[in-house]
Amino acid sequence: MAHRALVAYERPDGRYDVHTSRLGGLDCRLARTISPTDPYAGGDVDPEPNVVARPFEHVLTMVDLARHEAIYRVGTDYRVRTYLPLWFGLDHYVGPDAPADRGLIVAVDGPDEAARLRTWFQTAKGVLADGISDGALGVADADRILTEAVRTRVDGEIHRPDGTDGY
Amino acid sequence: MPSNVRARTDPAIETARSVVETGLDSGAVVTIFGECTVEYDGRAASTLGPGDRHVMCKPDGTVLVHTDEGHQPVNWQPPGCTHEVSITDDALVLDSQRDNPDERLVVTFDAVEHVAAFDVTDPEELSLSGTEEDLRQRILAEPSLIEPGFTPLATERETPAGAVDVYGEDGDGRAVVLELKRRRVGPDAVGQLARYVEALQRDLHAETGVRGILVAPSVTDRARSLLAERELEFVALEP
Repeated sequence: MAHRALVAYERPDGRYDVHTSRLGGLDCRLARTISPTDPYAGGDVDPEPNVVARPFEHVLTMVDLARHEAIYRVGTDYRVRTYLPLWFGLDHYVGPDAPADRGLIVAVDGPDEAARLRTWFQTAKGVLADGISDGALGVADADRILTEAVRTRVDGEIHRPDGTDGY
Repeated sequence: MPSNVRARTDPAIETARSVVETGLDSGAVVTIFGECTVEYDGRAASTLGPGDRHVMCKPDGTVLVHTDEGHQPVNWQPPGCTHEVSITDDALVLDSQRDNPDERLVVTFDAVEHVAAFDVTDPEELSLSGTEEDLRQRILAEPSLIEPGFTPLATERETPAGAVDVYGEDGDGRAVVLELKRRRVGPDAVGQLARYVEALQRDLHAETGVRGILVAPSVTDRARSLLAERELEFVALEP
């Protein structure tokens, strides 16, 4: 609901405290509004951590691909790395037989790239959903094609939501 | 109403600079319309090529760059930035800088068609209008915006699929889930809403189906047809 995001703040020991934001996924705006003088972006980020002292790989396992619109990794210097969850779920297009919790989490350079990637990804999903509806593709085919397309399209980090490298 | 307005249509570039500089120095809201390019450099970098845009500088340091579409600016700087205006190669250059983090937005107008400085007097305290909570608060204050008889019962009600924004009942006592979005939404928002509805249905063991309503400024055609297929609903509401 809303435009939810996870925000992971790096601790001096290299682990992360994870906070939530109800609206901070909107246009990936926290990438520009979190700063050393305003670490919680004027209240956009809940100042109470959800969990503390977790490795970043663990943070990735907390991502709900369908629900979270952005993940922010905030360094101790308050530089923000933005990640976009790409939800492969097609059940709302083609019915409940489609696997719902598939997807990848990719690093983006900022809000502009995130917007372009999101539009591209939604278009790709729509085309594949048409292919499934027309009987030209199976759900597994669509999943494989999306995975390959994302790997081809994205230059930077790609993670699976189980915290492993998505390449 | 502004108590003092200084405005020029088709100004000479030096006149435009003067209006902007005087306005910025005096704490006015300054607007500039004309063909410009926009360069942003900070945590990311972006360039907008030449085009007609409306730029607003607020005395708190905010800069908004608008085109003729949408309610969101195509580029912006948050409060706290400092602005400088100059003339370079016969172009009017607005340079907005933020120190921490280091970000810079440079708008270069090759032609200025209109420039204005408004001495805005607004003694009212910040109201709910325009704040982040606006959409949800408006619905809670006036539930009939959704439909007559709708009664909100909880915000952030937990379900196995996550917390829902607004949970309530319709006039017939059926459970209703509202999914609130502040921008035009596509099919995946339908997928999210369907997950909440299904989770709540299981949670409540509801005899009658749980209704799911997507509340957003607009939806894509594809999303609208998916909503219909899944017997979910849409209410258009601007944030």
